[in-house]
Amino acid sequence: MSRPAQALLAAIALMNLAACSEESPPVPPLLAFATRSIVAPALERLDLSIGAPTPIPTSTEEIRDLAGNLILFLNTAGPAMSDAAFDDAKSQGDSLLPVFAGILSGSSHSTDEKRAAARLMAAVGTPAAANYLLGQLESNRDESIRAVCAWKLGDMGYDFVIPGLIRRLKYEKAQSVTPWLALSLSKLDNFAGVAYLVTVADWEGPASGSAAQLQSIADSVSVADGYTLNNIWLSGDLDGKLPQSARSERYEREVWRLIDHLQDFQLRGVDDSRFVLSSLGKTAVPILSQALHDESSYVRSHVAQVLLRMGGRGQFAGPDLVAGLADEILAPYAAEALGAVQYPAAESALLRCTAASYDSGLRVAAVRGLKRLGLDSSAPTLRGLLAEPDFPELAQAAAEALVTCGFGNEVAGRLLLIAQGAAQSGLDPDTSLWALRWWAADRSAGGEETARTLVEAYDAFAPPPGIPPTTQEDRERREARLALFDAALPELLKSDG
Amino acid sequence: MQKVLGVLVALLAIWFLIVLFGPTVDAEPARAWKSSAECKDCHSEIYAEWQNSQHSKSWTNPLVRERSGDFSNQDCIDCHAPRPVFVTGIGERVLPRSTQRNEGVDCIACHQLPNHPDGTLGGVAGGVRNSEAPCRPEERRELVRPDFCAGCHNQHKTVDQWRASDFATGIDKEDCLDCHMPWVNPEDKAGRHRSHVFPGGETTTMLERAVTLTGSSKNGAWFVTVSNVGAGHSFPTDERSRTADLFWRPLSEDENAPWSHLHRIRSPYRDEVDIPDTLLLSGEARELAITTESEGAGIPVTADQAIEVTLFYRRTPVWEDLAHPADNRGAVEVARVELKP
Repeated sequence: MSRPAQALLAAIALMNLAACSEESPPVPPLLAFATRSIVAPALERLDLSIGAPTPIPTSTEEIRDLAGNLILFLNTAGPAMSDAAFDDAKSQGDSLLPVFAGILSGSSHSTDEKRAAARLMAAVGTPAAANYLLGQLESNRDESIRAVCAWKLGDMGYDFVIPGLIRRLKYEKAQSVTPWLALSLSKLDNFAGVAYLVTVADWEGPASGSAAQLQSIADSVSVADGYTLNNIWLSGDLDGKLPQSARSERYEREVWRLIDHLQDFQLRGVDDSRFVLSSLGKTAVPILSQALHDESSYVRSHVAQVLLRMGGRGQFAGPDLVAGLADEILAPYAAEALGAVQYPAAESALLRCTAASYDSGLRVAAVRGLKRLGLDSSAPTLRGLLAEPDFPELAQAAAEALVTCGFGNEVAGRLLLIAQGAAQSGLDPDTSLWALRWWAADRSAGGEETARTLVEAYDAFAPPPGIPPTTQEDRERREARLALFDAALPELLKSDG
Repeated sequence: MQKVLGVLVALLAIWFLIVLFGPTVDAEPARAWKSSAECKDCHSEIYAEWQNSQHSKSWTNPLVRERSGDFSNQDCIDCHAPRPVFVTGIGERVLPRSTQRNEGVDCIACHQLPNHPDGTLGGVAGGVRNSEAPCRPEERRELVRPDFCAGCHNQHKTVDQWRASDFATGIDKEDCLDCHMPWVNPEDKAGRHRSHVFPGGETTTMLERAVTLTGSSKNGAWFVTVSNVGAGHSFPTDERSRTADLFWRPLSEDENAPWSHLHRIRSPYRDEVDIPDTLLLSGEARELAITTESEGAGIPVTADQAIEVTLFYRRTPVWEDLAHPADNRGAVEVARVELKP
């Protein structure tokens, strides 16, 4: 859908929502949220445009000999001569790929020979070669081979491998592979791997190779260091500091394929797709925006979840998410996503969706969206929701939202009471505790000693990682945290004046 | 006589017309149900059962919170706080909801019907139709079908495992409800209901009913056979964190004597590519040689010494103390057998 069309749809949705204010009961939408088949036609169009893959010739004895000779040559000749082997591989083309794949998967060759096979596979340089390398990256049990595959996929320059590299980030456990995944992704203008590299670099120390790789990635995009780069990426690069290459049709097709998987029954494929899609850069957002209008409710709702996880990078989907507030299935997911993508223009629409005439799920989700937006202009409406007698969960969500909107001092006492009385009310005490911690941490960042001490004491009650607490331990931990706030609140509120 | 008969027929006709077209007894408009707590007043017994079930704890269970990073892994929310199954579709995958997540798999998740196409409220599904009850349930047979559970419980192929088992295909068929929602007060036709405790892996008697452990000696060495005799699906099933492990040790008076690990029964996580899937299929009997090291390694344990073999079930695959399985948090002994020469 074109940008003007999206804007028009958003405007119509906003008008619909405006007609449904708290003062007047909602009227049926002037124009129902329109859905249609989008994913399937997009895939058909791209399949047609890209064309069927060229069949790979059957391996002959001659090809197998050539592959063996190239590996031998690469491993015995000096580095200066490597290019000759790579040139030969390139000129021979895809026919070498099945032979190299057989060597990589088999057990009759040494690791050195397999590494050479992976490098020669990359030298073939075709999309088919990139796909073969992706297959090895996914399945080869030798981490040193996976590392070579990850490295060479970045060098080959095909953007359609980005989803495959990100999926591997999710599952890769070898510290020798992860830095190469991050490096290759950065070469393709995707910085989803930087967070992983930060973790590895922290673990291995500042003098490690991974720390050097982290710095080299930061240098390549003229950012001071890897940590800053990671923050820019995670916060959505709203200033456009990071490079964004135009994407190919093959990349686009991979994105649509992932979106298609959101309809799977098994959550395995859905989870992978949600993870990969939410780790893509801004260039995927126009595709995701289109998919918000697909006829499949799974596609619509999960794409909204993807945008929510994407955060600021998904901001350009704002108009389509606003339009989605008129769709019964999509609305609650769209409401929360609008806050996460930091789309302030959605504030008025979200405020209207908190009105009593709307579905309870949408009302709570809209408040959560406002909580993520954190605008102080939302406060009057949120304060009004605190008094909802028949909907304590909404009042709780509103109190928590007021914290991120900058009015934590107003509601801290209320949140403590909510958390303390959760056993009777049936409300979730933890969300209110988290909101209180957020408030204390915010004040701690402002230099308040009482708040700093409180946050440290609160965090000290975290259970040891990897050992699930018992129900009893969980309850005791919560009670101890509540006691901390109970004791510190008078001091904190007094210091606020 | 004919007059009397005529009057009776007329009265009957009037009564029939009133029943057919007259006002309903309950003129209260249909309500939108927000919370399971609203069901408590009329269904106190079932509500109390549900509160003791894992369904009610699917959001608050500390194990789930730890595994999901307090649901920062949002992929888990779909099944742990689902929208109504009737809304997303029977046998279809569920979608996560925004409200009352604290109630987990609540009454509404299974019983709320979708709104009608004209936007009016859809009411609730139940075992019987009752237009006089405040919730005015409609009788919906889908509630008792395995497909109804499949949206969540077939994510790890539990329903498929059942479909392939004798429980689904044999003469005496048993389905999900027979084991996991047995009748309460079955003799009382008016008062009986399906249990909403949903006994399963958290219930030791269910675990004990599922598997047996028997021993034998062959060619001078000990063997043990673990059999899935009572579960209509693999043992364990569902989440991959669930695991059953066999241990053995020489029989002695020392209760603290260390155990040796023998065999693991588990489906690996998707990134554990080198670990085989060893779930015990429904009806399967697996004979294992008892060896000095795990998974058949080491040397056979000779049948001239007395030993004991035990099977433990846990909801996490990581053992803190493999030599003393009973000391591990949440470990449940399911079966034990002593083998004497």
